Amino acid sequence: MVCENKQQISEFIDGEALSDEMLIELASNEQLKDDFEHYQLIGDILRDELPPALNLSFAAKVAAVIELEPTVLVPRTAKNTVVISEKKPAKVIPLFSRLGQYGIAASIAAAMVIGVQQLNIEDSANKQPQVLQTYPMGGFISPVSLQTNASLESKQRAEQKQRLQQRRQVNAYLQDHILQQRLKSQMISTTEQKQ
Amino acid sequence: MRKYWLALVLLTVTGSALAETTPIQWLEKMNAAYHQSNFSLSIIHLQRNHIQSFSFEHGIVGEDKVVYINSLTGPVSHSYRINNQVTYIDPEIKPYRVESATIVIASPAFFVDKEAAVIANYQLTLGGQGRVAGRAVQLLRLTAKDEHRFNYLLWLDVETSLLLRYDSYDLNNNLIEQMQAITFELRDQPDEKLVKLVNSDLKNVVKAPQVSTSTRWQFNWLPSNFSVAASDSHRLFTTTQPVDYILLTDGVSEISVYVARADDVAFPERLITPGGIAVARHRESGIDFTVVGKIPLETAIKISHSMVLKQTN
Repeated sequence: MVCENKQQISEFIDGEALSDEMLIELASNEQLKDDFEHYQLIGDILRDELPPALNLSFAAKVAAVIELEPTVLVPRTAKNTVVISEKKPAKVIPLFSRLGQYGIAASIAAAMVIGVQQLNIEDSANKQPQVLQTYPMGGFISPVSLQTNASLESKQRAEQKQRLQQRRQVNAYLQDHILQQRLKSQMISTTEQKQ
Repeated sequence: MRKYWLALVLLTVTGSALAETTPIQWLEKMNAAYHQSNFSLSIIHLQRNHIQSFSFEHGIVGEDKVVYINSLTGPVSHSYRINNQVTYIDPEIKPYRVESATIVIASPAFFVDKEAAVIANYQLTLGGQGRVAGRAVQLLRLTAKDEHRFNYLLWLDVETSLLLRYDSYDLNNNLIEQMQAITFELRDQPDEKLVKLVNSDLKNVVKAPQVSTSTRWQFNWLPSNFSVAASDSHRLFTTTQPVDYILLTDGVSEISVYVARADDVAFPERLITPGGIAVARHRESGIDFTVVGKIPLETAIKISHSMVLKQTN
């Protein structure tokens, strides 16, 4: 049985159609998944298409994530296999792992975009342009959110980064101002006495 | 015009004759009371959209004048002064000690020993009476003589003359900050905390270096009565950017002036923090002149444009 399956998988990788039953079997059977990956790997090595950083354990981690969403991911992968069976076998994806990898990357990207949007909306809604927001703690002027001409379109990462850097700069000056007032307060009172 | 002045002089003369104590006498009484009394306050310090609260203790322990200030909200930070030694203990920074007669923080000590500077820069008038921290207080207005500094309202305790509240306003009469006592307690004996503090004074603290007033920069223009109090070269705390630094003061307000090599990334040239601190940056031949201080923004901008290298002969 196992040998037969392996043979089928091998054929599947080489572009033969795979029965639905076999696909489901492949999706659920750990042993088969390993085999599938190994075959793919061998193929990759033969074709000299190994990714620069090979991470074999990654697939296992991704599988755990995918298990949470079987209804969405399994049909899609089934479609992919149809594509593969239509003689486009050269760059085959390890069935579940790499897809999962993209999924995770995409969801992280989405989270970042949402985060950035919220940041912008909050900034521009609450504060006037050209006004600096400080939250002093214990006599120190601490984090600052700085408003440059904050248009809602300025969501690009470069601008975000620049803005952060600007905040850092202004913060540095403000903190130093407070610190210097303390460090040199004796000089202030002597100056005052001279007047 | 002359008539107007005459009327004004007459008014102030009769006004001060009627009042028992002149504004200057109030300030002098405040100084004396501050130096001689044992008292505790809880204070709120309001800055546009931010409130902090502190406890403030002042006492005379034997020969030593001791102040202890402790933040009641947010990160724990304390500062204390024993005579001319001020120690600051803030989160994430090593405790450090500075030789100074004042703790730099909004407190009832803010105007103590500053009467010369106050008289030089402000017009003083007495206002009505009110109530702060459950006590009767006298209002004292400090109106700036020019447009280069902010105005203050002071509320002094009628019985002790101690400062229980002050507000500062910008040129458009917007409130910039407010220090207000919530509770006030006059004591016969200094608080136990202060006695403990004197006996267990920290030994292992960083001492701030001595500073000079010589600088290679000079100002073509400064607001009246402002002069260089100190200057040095140092690095900014967080960005480690090297700067030439000059501290200016009129005895009440302080202005920091920074000279640094211009960076690729530049923050806006004009900023005001909600706490009323103006930041003006002026870039000239690859150098950023940055002026930071609780002063009107226009004044900060003017100072940032007025700096030149001293001519060496």
